[in-house]
Amino acid sequence: MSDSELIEVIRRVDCFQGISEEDLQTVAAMGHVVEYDKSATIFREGDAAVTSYVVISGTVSLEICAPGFGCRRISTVREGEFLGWSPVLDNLHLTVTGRTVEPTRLVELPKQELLALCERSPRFGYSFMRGIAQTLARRLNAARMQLLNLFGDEAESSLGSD
Amino acid sequence: MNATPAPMPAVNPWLPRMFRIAEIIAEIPSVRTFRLAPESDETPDFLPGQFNMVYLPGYGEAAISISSGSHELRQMDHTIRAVGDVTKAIMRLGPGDQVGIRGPFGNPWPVARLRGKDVLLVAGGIGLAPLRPVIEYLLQNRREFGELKLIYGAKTPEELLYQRQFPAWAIAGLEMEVTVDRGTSAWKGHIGVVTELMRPLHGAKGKTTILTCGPEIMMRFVAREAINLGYDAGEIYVSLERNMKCAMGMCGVCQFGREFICKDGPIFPFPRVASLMQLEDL
Ligand SMILES: Cc1cc2nc3c(=O)[nH]c(=O)nc-3n(C[C@H](O)[C@H](O)[C@H](O)COP(=O)(O)OP(=O)(O)OC[C@H]3O[C@@H](n4cnc5c(N)ncnc54)[C@H](O)[C@@H]3O)c2cc1C
Ligand code: FES
Repeated sequence: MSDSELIEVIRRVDCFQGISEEDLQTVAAMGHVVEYDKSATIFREGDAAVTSYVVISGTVSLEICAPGFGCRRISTVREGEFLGWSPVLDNLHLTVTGRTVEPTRLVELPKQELLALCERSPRFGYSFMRGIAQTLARRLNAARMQLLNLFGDEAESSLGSD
Repeated sequence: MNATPAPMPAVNPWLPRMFRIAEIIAEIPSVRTFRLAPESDETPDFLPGQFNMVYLPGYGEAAISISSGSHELRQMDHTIRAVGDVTKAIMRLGPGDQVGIRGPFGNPWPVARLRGKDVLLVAGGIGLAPLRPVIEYLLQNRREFGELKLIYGAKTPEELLYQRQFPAWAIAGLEMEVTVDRGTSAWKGHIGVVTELMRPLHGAKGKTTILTCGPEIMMRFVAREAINLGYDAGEIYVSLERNMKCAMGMCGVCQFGREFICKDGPIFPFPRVASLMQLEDL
């Protein structure tokens, strides 16, 4: 993938909206493109939180796994989305396992370099952190909706009483 | 409300007309589609989004949306989830059995206003049923509309309605994104709620109309997300459900604030019902 293609991919991501061309180029320069087959594990819950990602193509499923419980898929992250807020918010460890659902291409963005750019360019830092907050707010709202169990449980039981 | 006048029953709207069950399609757990044909020589006439009162002697009536797209075959589909007395009794019927029908009632989706526009349809669970007639209408007249996109969510992959039609809809020009709350390992699609898939359509936001049907809380979140994304609140239409009796604005059973769901709805522009949709005890 050429530098200019990488810049275009990053430009479309919500949390990089509104950043300067110069900062965009810096982010692209720290990026490293990686490819995974389907069902590949990209990271595991508990791994050191050192890398964030942008999904170029494909889909990553986020899972929580436990003995006797298996792995439960809780959400998916798709093309054009930022993945991995834990590293840039200084969490030491990842909170979920990320697995590809289909062949997937990602840009790896090292946490240290992203945070260093935030320090050097507070304007970038403000836009980027605001974007991360907005992404998290969207996911929080979505999680609340999922908690409401909107579709109820009647589908499993209603015809049983025939 | 809508530019399209809703057809009212030509016959006595208090009296059920008898229809025969021509076919029953098992859709998903607890949900079946009943394809009904009139016993008389009437040709059912309805607009996308309207509903009928389906009557079963000895049990009563239930409001059920018409879920088929066209009445060329002189038939109407009703996709029914078994929840209470009437709907569970209907599930025990078989092909050839009769039900009574009063209707069609209610305001349709604002199809006449959609010409030349982009249309975003957001459905949850069995809420896809009242949207199916409008999807069929949009696809039959595909060239009259801009971008057409359906975002559909259900609890699990097994509870996605009308899956057999998805390929045909896609070929006919409907962009689709499907998501479930709980995905099995076999599920390759999205996991999450419908609002997470909402993005601005490629066209101008002012040119987009949003039609949504599903659990009421879902529609509230959909409207809120759409407004956040910059869509015009007046271009968001929701379909509401309340218990019904007369279906003609006479008995007051379905009253919702100043509105009667049966005759002023069930389809409303969001701003008209937004504040009511947040009251706990309506
Ligand atoms: C305009 C309109 C269109 C409708 N379209 C459809 C449709 O296309 N398909 C369809 O299946 N239903 C539809 N409904 C809903 C249907 O009318 C009700 O579910 C109706 O109450 C069923 O009658 P019943 O006698 O079987 O259940 P009731 O005896 O009225 O209810 C039995 C129990 O089920 C609960 N209940 C009622 N409705 C629901 C519900 N929707 N979900 C979960 N629990 C419920 C009640 O709280 C009650 O405890 C529509 C309603 C309206 C107002
Ligand atoms: S059902 Fe009687 S007024 Fe609406």
